[in-house]
Amino acid sequence: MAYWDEWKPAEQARLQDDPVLGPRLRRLQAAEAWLHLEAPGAPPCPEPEELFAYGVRFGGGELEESRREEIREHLPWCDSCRAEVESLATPPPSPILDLPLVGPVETPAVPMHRPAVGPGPTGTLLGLRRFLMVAAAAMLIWLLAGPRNRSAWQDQTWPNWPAVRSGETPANFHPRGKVLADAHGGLWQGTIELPTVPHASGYRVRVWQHGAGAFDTGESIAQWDSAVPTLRAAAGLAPGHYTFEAYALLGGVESPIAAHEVQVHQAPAIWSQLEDQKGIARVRTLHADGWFEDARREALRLPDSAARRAYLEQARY
Amino acid sequence: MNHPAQSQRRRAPKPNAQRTTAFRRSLGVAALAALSVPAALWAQRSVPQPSQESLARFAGELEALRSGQGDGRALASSARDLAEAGRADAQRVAQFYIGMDAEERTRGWQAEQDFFALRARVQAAAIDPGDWPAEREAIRAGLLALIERESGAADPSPSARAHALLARLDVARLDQGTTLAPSDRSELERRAAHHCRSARDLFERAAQRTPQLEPLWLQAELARLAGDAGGAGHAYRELGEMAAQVQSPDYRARSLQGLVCLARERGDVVQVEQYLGLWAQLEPPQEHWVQAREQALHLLSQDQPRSALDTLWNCQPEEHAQRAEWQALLASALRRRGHLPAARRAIERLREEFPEEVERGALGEAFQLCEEGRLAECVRALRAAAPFEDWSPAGRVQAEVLLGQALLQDGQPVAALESLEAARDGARDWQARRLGPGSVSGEWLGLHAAVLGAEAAWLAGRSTDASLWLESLQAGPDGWQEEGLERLARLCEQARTQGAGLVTFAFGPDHGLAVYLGPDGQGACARFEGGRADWTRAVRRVREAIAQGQEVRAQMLLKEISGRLWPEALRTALAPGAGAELTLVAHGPLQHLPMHLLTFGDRPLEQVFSPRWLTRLDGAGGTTPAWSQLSWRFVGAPEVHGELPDLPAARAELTELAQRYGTGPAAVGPACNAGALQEAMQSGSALHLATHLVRSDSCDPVGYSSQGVLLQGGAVLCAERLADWARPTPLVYLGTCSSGTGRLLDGEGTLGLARAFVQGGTRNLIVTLWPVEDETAAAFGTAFHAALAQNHPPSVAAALAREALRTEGATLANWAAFVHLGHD
Repeated sequence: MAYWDEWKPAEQARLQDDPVLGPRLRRLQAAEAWLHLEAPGAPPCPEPEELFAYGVRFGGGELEESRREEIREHLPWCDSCRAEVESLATPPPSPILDLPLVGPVETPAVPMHRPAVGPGPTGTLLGLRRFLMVAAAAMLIWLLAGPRNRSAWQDQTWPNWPAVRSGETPANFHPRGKVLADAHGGLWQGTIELPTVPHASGYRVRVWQHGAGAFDTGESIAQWDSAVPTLRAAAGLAPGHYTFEAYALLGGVESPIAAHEVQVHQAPAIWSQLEDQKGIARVRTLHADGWFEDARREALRLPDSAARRAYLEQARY
Repeated sequence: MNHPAQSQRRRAPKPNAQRTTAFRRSLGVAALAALSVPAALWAQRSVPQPSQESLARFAGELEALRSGQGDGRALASSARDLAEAGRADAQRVAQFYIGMDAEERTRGWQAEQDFFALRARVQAAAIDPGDWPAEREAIRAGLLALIERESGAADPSPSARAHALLARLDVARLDQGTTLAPSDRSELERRAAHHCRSARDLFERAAQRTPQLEPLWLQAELARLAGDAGGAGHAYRELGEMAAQVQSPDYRARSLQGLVCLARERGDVVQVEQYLGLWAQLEPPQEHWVQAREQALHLLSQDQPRSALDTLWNCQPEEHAQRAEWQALLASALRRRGHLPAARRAIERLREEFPEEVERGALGEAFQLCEEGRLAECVRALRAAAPFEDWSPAGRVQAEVLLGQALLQDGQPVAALESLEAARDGARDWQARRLGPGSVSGEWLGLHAAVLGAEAAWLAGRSTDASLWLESLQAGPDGWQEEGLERLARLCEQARTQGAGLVTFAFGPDHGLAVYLGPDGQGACARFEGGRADWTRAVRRVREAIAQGQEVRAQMLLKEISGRLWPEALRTALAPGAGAELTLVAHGPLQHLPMHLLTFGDRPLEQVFSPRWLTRLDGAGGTTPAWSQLSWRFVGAPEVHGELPDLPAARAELTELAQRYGTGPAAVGPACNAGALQEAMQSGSALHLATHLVRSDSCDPVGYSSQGVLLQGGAVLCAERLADWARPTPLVYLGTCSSGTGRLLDGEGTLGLARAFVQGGTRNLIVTLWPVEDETAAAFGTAFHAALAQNHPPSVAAALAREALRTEGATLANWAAFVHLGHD
């Protein structure tokens, strides 16, 4: 039944009339339509003009700051848009003194959700997308019609951040603090998000690996450049202690943004715990265990909602 | 072998010499701004812009009309085109000349040709000066004669141009004339000011705005040379506004250059950054060496030598004299990065290729020798050049500091102190005169000099002077003037006689220093490893570990920091004072550290001493009150109605405390407004404020890091307003997030909300070092007041409240955020 749309109209009509399968098909179709058209967390890809304005920044037309923020959030999860944006801006000057360790460009993991309307996906991606949608639809049906004794991971409430006495928005510089190495490769391969700096022509992150000491400068092991404030780590980071130094490039000159400590941990136990979990449950587990960056990353992959936005905005670790 | 990146670097185009402040270099270029501007710079603007062709056509039509060969209609037509492209001033100019009698027009044009001939002589002299003073006077006479002759003419433009060039000649003499007698100097200043005013008035009469930019710029330069920073700042800003109106990026850049220089001179790093950012938007530093130089200097002063190197590699000037500056800066950046052999090569190249740059070469060589540990050679080289009479004021001060450093390292503290004091006196005098691109708060004349001076004073047996060196250079701009020094000396003596005495810290670019003055006249002076950048990083690591709940890691980091902060010599000297009050002035990165978590030996510092932490040495105004009897005002918990949450715990806390003290109702909810806060602050009572801290563009970014507090309905009250209202009071409790933080500046300390109260004479402050949860903050506030009610002083009450929270199971991030600053 999951492949109902591949059936001929006559076969579909017969199925619709079936007293048992008909209602199920209608629920499946409704769920799939919701996923396609109404899911707030699956915004369509930005218009090409918007991507142009975002990537070029000057001379590319005006873009509201809120829209710019939406696009910035969209980019880590959309390879085609990100590639387009990165192709628009002039790359920053090459590093001069210390050559960066440039690893192979990793194929980013397929995100949990894809824009419902966007550039035509490849065949493999189409299959995966279909599978994800069907799986999500099946889950929705199960949630609607299934038993009421939900286990913990079905709890759809978001974790809470306590109210703090500050109106200061925390610096939009991620990751910071501890992050999980990948369960399989043992490396952290994430996305670095930096605050947007007006008029910056590019962004740079220098990575220093150091011992755990307070005064240990460590060794500069990588330098990642991007035309946009969202950077993919070009090479994975092994478990250890790192300092991420972020710079905006203004007229080719490095202007320091901030520096943060990042610790990459191997934690097989948490991965085992997450194995059977989905969606908000994963966010809750990671959050409760203090893996705030990974919880945030999970949250970013989920459909948009007021609760999700509140969770992401209140993060003050 | 060339570095791979060198092949990629963009060669800077021929630098625009007009933009340098060295007038001698700029005299060779036509200075009078016309309507034409580089087309490449227009391209950055989104407003309508005239094309280079339409500007040239207008200039040609105007020339033709004035010379008697043109047609007013053609000029009016091209003026209309320019007006449509955003240059309305072109129409005013056209109308002025079209309406003029033809004979007068031609006369004016001919007078202008006479002016151009005189200007050409100035340009020729820039290439081959010959007997420049005689030639200059001849040109001056010619210009004055032209002004006299044209005084009643209908076209004031030639006279205006003559006045502008006269002003330029005078300002150039002022800029170069370090040996001018005071009377000559003041006469030149008066004359130049007159020419600037006359030029602007006459250009205005001729309806010409763009040519006014030059005399306006000269007025700004004149004010700066006279040490009138306020007047110069005003003129540079006016220049920037006018340049924006007439679309002259060149003069906008000059305006920003002047503002950068002024901001650097007063050590205003925040504004330097802002202006440099604007400048970089206007034109890339690769194309203008002065900007690249300022960017590199700023990065060096911010402990970013790697970024400075990056900038220097990407922005290499081609003009000979500018190459010398570049080489010298390159050597500095390489030294700061620890690449001594490369720095040595840069210095050698500087001396070989630019033998005429005596001062720069000698200073660079001395810096290099000092860094290489060749101290005797460094001292010899500098003494050979002493007393540096032909050097610039900045160079003299730098040389004296360097000599002091070399002598100190060479075991000659008394001689070192003499040099360092000469540097300090020189910098003090220098501050009243013109400052160069360097700054007294820069890399080598700021805290580096403070640390060296303190160490030399201590070794020379002048213990109070050692503390004074550290405090005076960290007490703002007044700290090292005569009055400031006397006041600080009194405070040092007072503090050393109280309890276990006084410990003060400084974090220079290379290492830190602590000076302890004990009550018995004994004390200690101890270096600790790591420069300002290392300590800043260490403190950041502690803060992040705490914020992320990594308590074990935080404790390990704090132990490491404590071990370095209390070297053996300091621990030994302090040991006899155990159990007594100890005043500690936490300068630099320490101001962002939860000092109460430090250990001393194997024990918590708070168990060994009764520490009183200050952010700067100031007087403890007033007498110690009975803490349980304090009169209080409670303000906070506004209804925000916005994106920020209301603070129910703060409301309950304030209401309960107001009831407990019987002060009348707390100003909470709708009552939490500016009027209530002003009244509370000016009442002289203790203040307990519990609300959101916010950062707003409407608040002062320089003095208070744009911080303010949130009041009813989401209104923001900026810290500078609070500073205006602050009165001496025994205790202020700032129960907001991060109330003790802000931007940290050398010589100034933390620029944030707390500063507003410290400056106002608040004797004791409770502040927070990072975001605090509403519930926990309320619990802390309640526990703090419970301890005060038992007549504990605020420092002890804060410690008891922290302990209460910790015992109840609060996280480290929650209970450690609250610190006490002050004298009790």
